[in-house]
Amino acid sequence: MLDGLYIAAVGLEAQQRQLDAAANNFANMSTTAYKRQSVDFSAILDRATTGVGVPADSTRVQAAPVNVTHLDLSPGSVHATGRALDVAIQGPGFIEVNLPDQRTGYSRGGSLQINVDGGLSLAGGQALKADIRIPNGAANLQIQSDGSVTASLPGEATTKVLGQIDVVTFTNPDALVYTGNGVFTAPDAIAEPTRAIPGQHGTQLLAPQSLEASNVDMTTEIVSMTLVQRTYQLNSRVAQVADELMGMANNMRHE
Amino acid sequence: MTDIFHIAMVAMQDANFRMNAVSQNAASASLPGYRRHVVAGNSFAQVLNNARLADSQEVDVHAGALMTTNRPLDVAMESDDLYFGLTDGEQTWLTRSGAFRLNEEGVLVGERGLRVVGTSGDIRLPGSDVTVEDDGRITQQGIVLGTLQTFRPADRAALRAAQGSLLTAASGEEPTVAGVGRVRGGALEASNTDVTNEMIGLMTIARQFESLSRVVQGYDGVLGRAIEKLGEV
Repeated sequence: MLDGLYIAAVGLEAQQRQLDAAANNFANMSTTAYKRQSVDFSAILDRATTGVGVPADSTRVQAAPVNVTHLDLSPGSVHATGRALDVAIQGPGFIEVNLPDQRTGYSRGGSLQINVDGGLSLAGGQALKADIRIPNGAANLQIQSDGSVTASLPGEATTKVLGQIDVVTFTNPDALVYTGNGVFTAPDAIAEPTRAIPGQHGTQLLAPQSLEASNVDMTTEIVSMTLVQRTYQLNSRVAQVADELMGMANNMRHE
Repeated sequence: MTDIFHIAMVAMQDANFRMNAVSQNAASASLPGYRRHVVAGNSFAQVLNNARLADSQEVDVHAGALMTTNRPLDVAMESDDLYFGLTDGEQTWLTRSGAFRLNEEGVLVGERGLRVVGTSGDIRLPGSDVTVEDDGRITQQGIVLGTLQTFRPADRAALRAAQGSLLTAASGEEPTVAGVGRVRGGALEASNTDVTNEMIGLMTIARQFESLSRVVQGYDGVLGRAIEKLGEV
């Protein structure tokens, strides 16, 4: 009899998680290159349903550990900003950055900066793995669509290539984990990414002087929020009725 | 003399099974491809004869609504009676849920990381930047990388619910000829849980349970009085 209550509780939890994800998406609607999150319901349900009324052995599925939150990596719209160090990735792919704990982070680009060491870095301060140093006095700094970073140096007639930003792609980018500040990290189980010059090996050219907008769509989020609310309501009614049934059973003998 | 207690108990168990099905359906109301569970009706004779009812859960095979997600690896089955196959190498489950993704080896997997059955075994893709054609072919820039295998259960009434959106076909399943099924890429099928249905089911169960508990109480009172009266002599 407790099954009904427990299952309803899982349903409530699933809706709660979905609401958390929707809140996150709303809050990041204008964050550069933000990727919307969604909830994998089967992963939540897995933990609770022992298959009610299902012969235990024949249908029990050994579940592979899965992330409860999934990333929707569809590209956002790219809009021009005119700032020389803004860069957006078109199509799939990431730029590699160095994280403080020696690991590699993956970014969808954004407003790059020159950090205190003179290296090109993300707005959050993580230096690009390509380690591109901008010498003092460099002018007319530009990121080309093929990923090369060029500048004219004092006393030199032609522009000089300072470095090359490569794009890496994953077979299963959905498995990446979002750690905030526009940086994703790769779990241990993920296959090694392939590195390419933008525009080659199936990658697309970079969009210089542009930023990628968040891929959150307000209408989708609001519709899913309404659904979440109603489903939550249904599940809480189920929990209430399960409780009432138990109350009735307990009160059957009242003298 | 305990017959009435017994019948009431069996009927209450039955109500309990239906309650479990309703809570499963409510909890899975947002699980893509979920098929709502229904408890197969137990006849009065069965209720009377069986000491314990079997909890036989069948599934409601009506299709849910299609929702567009625009995610390349989301696939909705448009043909009513067909299913995708998911396998762990030993057993094959049927599902209407086409929320696929790639695992670390680049193999197309569905719910719980089970591998999607293609017309020639596992489907390996170089990335998620692909198109799913109407006939189940998965292409990238015109090159066919794999084809989704669709299955038709030999007897649709013999489908049983496993976990989540997974189903097992007690009567066995038959792969269909390629090109028979129609699928739609970038879309998912919603759970076919219907809130109205579940709410009405919930109310029926609660009231039925209530009246059964009244029967038990009333009969208990009758027995009590009978014993007292007989004891007076």
